[in-house]
Amino acid sequence: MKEGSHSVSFDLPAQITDVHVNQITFRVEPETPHSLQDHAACQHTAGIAQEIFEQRELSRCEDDQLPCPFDLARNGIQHEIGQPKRRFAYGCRPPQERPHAGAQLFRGQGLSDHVVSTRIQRGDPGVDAVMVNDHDQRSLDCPLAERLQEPESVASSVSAVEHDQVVTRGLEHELERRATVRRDRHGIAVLLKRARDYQGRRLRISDHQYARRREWSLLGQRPTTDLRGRSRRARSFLQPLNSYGLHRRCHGLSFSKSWGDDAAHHSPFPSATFVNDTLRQFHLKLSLRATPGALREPSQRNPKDLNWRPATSRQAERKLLSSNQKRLPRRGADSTDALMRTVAKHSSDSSALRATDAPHRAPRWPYGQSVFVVIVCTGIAYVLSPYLLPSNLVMVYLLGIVVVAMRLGRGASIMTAALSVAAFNFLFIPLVRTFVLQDAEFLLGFAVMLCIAIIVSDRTSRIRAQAAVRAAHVNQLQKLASASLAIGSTLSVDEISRMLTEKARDIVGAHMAVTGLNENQKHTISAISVSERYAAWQGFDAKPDGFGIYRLVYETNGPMRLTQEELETHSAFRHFGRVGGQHRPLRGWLAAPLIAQDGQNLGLIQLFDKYAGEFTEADEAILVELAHTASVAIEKARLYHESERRRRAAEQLYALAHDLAETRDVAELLKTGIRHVADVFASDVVLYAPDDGRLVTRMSHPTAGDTAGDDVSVIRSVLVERKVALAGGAVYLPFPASRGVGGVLFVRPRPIEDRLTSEQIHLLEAFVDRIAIAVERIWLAQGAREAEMRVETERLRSSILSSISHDLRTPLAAITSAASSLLQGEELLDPVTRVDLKEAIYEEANRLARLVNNLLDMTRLEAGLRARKERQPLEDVIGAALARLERNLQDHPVATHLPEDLPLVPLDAVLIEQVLINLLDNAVKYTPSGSPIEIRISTTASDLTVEVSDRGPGLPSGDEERVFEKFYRGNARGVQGAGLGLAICRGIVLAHGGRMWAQNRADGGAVFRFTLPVDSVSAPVEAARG
Amino acid sequence: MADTRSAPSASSPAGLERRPISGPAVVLIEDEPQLRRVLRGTLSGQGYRFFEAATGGEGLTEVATRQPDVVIVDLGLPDIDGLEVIRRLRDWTPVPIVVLSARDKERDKIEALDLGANDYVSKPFGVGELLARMRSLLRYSALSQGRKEPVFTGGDLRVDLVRRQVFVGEREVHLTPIEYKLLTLLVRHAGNVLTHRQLLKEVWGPASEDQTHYLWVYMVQLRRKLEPNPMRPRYLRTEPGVGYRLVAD
Repeated sequence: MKEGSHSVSFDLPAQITDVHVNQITFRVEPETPHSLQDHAACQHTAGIAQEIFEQRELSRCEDDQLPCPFDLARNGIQHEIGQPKRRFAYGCRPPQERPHAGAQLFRGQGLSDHVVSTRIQRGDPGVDAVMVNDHDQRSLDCPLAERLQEPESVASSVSAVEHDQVVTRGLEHELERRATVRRDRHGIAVLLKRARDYQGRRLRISDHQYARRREWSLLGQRPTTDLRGRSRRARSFLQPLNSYGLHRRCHGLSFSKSWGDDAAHHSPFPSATFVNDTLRQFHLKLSLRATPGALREPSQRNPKDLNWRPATSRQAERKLLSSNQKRLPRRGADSTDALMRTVAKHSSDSSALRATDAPHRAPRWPYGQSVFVVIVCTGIAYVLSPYLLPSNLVMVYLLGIVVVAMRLGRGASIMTAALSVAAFNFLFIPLVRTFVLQDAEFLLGFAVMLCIAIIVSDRTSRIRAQAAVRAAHVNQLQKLASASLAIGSTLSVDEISRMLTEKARDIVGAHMAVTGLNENQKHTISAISVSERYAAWQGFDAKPDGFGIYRLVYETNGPMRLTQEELETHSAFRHFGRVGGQHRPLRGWLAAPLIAQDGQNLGLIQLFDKYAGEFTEADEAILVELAHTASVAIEKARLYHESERRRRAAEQLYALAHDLAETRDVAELLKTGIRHVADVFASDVVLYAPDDGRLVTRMSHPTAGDTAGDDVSVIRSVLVERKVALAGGAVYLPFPASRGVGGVLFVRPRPIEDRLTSEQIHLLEAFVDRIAIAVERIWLAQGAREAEMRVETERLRSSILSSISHDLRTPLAAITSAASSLLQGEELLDPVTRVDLKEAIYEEANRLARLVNNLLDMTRLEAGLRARKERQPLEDVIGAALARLERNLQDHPVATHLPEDLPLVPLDAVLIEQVLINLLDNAVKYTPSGSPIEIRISTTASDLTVEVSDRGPGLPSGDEERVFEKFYRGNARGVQGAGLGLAICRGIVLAHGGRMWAQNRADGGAVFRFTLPVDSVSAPVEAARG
Repeated sequence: MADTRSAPSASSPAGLERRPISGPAVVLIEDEPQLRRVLRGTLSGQGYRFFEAATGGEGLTEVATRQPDVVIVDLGLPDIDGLEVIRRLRDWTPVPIVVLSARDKERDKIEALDLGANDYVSKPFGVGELLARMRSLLRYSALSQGRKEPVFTGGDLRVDLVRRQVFVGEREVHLTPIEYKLLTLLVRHAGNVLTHRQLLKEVWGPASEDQTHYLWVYMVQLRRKLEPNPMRPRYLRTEPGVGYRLVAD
């Protein structure tokens, strides 16, 4: 069993087959590109068929007892493929319980079944009358075929396949039924059909037009003997119609020969075989040369020897018939003759099918011109006659003859010669003005003149023809050169194939040229060029599915040249699909592959239907040359585009890197990166990140794009496996997980049909890496900053700690020492000292208390102090503060200036008291004893300002803001305190919604101001008067 | 007996007077031993009969047993919250209570006062302050027991409760009825703090407990009328966040 790409063939066992038909080919042409399923189906059916053939007994199908294996196959296959339209032709009688299924014929070789659009004829269940081919469309177009549709005609004329005699009978019956068979088209059609069916012919035969051509070719012309069919089967194709007349006989013959009476054992294939074989034999006999008895096995004969000529004459027929008389029933011979004639008549309008020959200019009025020349010569001779002998005068005429022969062709030159002879004879030879020749020697001259005329004209025309050929050749070469130049100079693959197609068609001279390109095993038609004859097909857009004769070109990577007959009979030939039937018969096929440098196939160019004659070797060479140029150009174009693509990719990456370098923020960076990806790849981009186990859209571009079509399961798997995934036309990339940015990038091209190529996906990965690097950089920078800050904080903390501990220890030291000395040796001390020590203990303890309070306040502020604001008179607070610091303020006169109608201000009394205490304490600490302190309050509509000023040394200039920093002590020498007081004040004021600042007074001293916001409503003082 | 009778100096704490040995009884409920030590010495030196307890429970028992004249309670006790102690004491005894509170916990102070404590002292405190407040409390409780003091004198301020006259120095000051009512309330509790709520409740009635601005206004007015320097009130002292106190020297 041998398998082609789309067909399964297997050999029949020898005892079944006879010589020629030894293969059965299933050909399945589904509508969709063939799949493994189809292949398996093919195989399956082929296997069953083989079984059947091997066993033979299964070839018959009984209705009830045995399920028909073909039936099973059919059902099984249909089941497998799941498309009811597909039918495999197989030869058996379908079970009767399915009357509607029609019959299916197991097609033998040579049949192509475009089985998809089957038009299974209604018929008997026991019938295998099949037209399972969409060429039926064509045949339906012709009037003949209409009749074929009628079920009864079919049914009545066809009977069970097992009984071919019945078929024969049916046929005879049919023919007899039709009284006027000669004129009856229907009969012909039936016969055609029958023949087709039983011979397993390609259905093209059913194409009436084509059949007519065949008839014509049978009757009128000598077919090409250049048989280069790929298998011997081709030959059987050359005998179409003629055998129709013999059909019956063949049929009867086959049965009587092989099966004898056992009509039950029948398989259509052997009968087809025999029919074929028999036909061939008969066909040979039809040859005029072959004698009926000297028939040898066709296999042993060189097919080229076959001088096959159709029997155009009745005589030949008779001969044929008579030679087989003992074998054939002599029935209906007349009807056959009549049939033949009718057929011939039907083909009478075959002239339309004749291909147009290349025109050549015929000279106009050749004979008139020759007469004119003769007259001129006569005139000249007449002028010269007094001076020359007649034997020399004749040279003038000779000159004229030569001139005419050179220009006007053979006929005119002969006529010139004759006329010259006559004129010379008449006018110049003695016995002038008569045609009588006195001297016989002039006859020689005349004969010579005639010969010269003929020879010269012959030679001249030959030379002219050769010159024309050479000129055409040169022209062709020139065109080839310019075509090569043009093709090689463009960088667009489409342009290249268009130019190739047009120029090839132009240079070689064909009606149709098609170029297809092969990219990664995907074949597309890239350019079509047609002449006016096929102008309707200019826009034809078929998708080649890889099956067809051109497939051989792909496989062999070499040019192929076939005549039309060879093409038709070729096993791999499929017609042009549905369209094909509408073609007129074509003249030949030439194809050359486009091969890349490394031998890879880039595509192919096919030429159909040469203007005149068949395609020659020169044509093949030209096409190969053009194809080579085009291949080089295509490769160059592709390389150029590739390098352009790479350059562009590098540029895009650079642009991305450039943009990313300028962003500092991770979110901004992601947004920029995703925008770049979306722009460069023309896609919708979404970044998904896991967030507490759920997938969240972290960012997307365009932001409002819908994310339908992204598959959550794919996203999750990519998250886990960290590998790129492709699903549904979109790409899922793992986004590098670096400190919380890990996720999945979903990229879907717009429109979704423009899938990303693998190079684009690589570029995409590069983009993602670049973005990830940028993110990492930002994170690292941030980390570095944080680390730096931590170090700084630590340093600060340790310095603060050391400062505070010093401040805490100092008073403690004083207390401890004073107390211990009092404890240990009080009686040794004088009363003043004793009091001193005790006071020292008290004061230091107070100082320590204040420091601790400050520290605690600071802690509270840091933790977030909330002021409990209540409306209170500020005087109270000031009074309390003053009372608290009464002792300290003993040396400092305090003056207070308050406005009369001080509003009630929302404030936290304790905190504001603390502020005032701190400010007053500072004033005491930093000013010399006795210097006054002022407290002043002023109000505006929105807030209230409190001023505490002194006449001390003031603030260090430039440090007015710095004094509010924690632990700032300015140029304090010998002043105690941790430097927290003002920081706490400001914190408290800020918590109230106010501001605090410090200034140096113009006339010495410092002033500290803070504001407190006053709410719009303040309860009037009068309202509460009781 | 450490006795700090000091020569007068500008920075000396308030003067301490000697009391007879059979003085009023005081119960100190304080868990801090050092503080107990100091107060023991001081109060005993001042003539108080001193009893102490280290936990709330013990303190309650001690108060029940000793029937003191004044109780000092620290708010930060280990077993029972100081406020709870006050609550329980107030269930059955009207004995004056002074609260020792941490500096920052005004809310506790206010709550303690609202629960029934009479005065408070913030730690760290000067002992003189504590003694002054204790004296005021004792005087008040003596007054409330029947002995009346018709005239209050404190510094330049003289309030004649019978004739309803107020004098600052020699000058008589005219007060509105509410002002007078406010002043007499403060006078009756002279030396001890009165919370805003208490003042409002007493002067304006229970419905007005939240109208603190009344209080502010009237205090301002009183100060203006009575104080030599309203900005630095000598008598009518504000206890920020808590209330007011008439300082009687």
